[in-house]
Amino acid sequence: MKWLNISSIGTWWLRLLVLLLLGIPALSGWPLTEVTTGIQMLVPFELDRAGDISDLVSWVVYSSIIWLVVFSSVGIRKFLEYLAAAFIIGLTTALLGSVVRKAFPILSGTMSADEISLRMVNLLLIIVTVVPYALLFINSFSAKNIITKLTDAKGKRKTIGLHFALLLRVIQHAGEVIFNLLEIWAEEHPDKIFPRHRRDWRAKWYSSANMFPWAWGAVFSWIYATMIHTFEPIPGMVDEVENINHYRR
Amino acid sequence: MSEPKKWTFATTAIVGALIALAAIATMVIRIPIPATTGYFNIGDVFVVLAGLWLGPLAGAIVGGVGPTIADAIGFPVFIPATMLTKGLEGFIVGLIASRASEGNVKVKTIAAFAGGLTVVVGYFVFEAYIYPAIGKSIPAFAITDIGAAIIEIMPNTIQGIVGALGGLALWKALSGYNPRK
Repeated sequence: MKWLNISSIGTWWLRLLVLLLLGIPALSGWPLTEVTTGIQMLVPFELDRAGDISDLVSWVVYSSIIWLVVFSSVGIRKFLEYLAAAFIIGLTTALLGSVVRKAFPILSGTMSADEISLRMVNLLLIIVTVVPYALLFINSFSAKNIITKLTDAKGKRKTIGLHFALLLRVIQHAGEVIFNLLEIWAEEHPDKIFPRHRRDWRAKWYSSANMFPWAWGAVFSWIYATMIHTFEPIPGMVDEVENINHYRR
Repeated sequence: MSEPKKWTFATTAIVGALIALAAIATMVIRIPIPATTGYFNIGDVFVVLAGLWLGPLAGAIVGGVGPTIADAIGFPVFIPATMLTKGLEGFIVGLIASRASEGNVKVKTIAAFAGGLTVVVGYFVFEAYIYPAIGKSIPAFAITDIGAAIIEIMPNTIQGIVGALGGLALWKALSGYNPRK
């Protein structure tokens, strides 16, 4: 399925155009609303929440297309990494939404339990679709290519282009850090991301209270680790771009 | 008053890192608020940090871009509200913080909490008045009303306080960092 490979599109603006077209349904809802109406018309009998269920089905269709494009463009390994990140974000969000519905009913407003549940399933589908798409979008453009092309350029165009390339490079690097961190923690410090690995928690009636300090610690370790690894190579990147900016043939 | 900072390649690199971190922090820890279909998150930590560390322009860019990228993933209807509210949050934090000397913790604290207040007021205005008004002509925006906006004041206040405290802590930890060393 080479024709689905976005990175094989040589011209950068054509690649950008294709990626933007692919993202339209996620941002605007079009043509998913039309697909939803079409699916509803196919159902020959009355169904409770037929509209919501049809909406979920149309998202499954769109999600399959996005996954196929991402898989064809980045290969199996990266695709699975993207999916892992998407499911971690999606599942935590959807599960936390359900916890909020139970624990703080006042935050539900006028929404019924059914409506919230369907909204959370929909949210999970949206996240597992859009996260791989967003990662494909960011990584479809090479900062290094932009820098190389700008080496012999002159004046403001060169400086502005280098600022843009540096910005893209740092954002791509930050995205990589998240995956590496997840992989390293999963292998070397599983207790930081999976509470079941905490062997020091004894099975007492108050054991579940350990979850709160654990979650607090996990969030803060994660923030600090992400920051350290994100900022670490920045001096090198800045030096390189500054040298190119001052480079004259 | 501190000297206005010159925009260098190092500034661009830090802004890029903070945009990415703000987007990631907004996405990874988000607690949906069913009443408004919005969500609680900790992305403000990096918006406040950007304003305190790099000034109003960088604060506005990080606030306007980072959390907006996160909203595009799952909550696209909130993009206009987030872009303006968080952009303004970073700008206000940076503006107040730049009026004081580098080490003036008192003014930096006021700046950080002013940013938190901007989030509470900004989202309230959008959810109570602007979205219902736009919703009359574009149905996708008819997702909130004044009742839902009142319900969200509490989580937004907690989010503002967490953002201010986290941003201040990180600013203190990073104030000696120079990417050119």
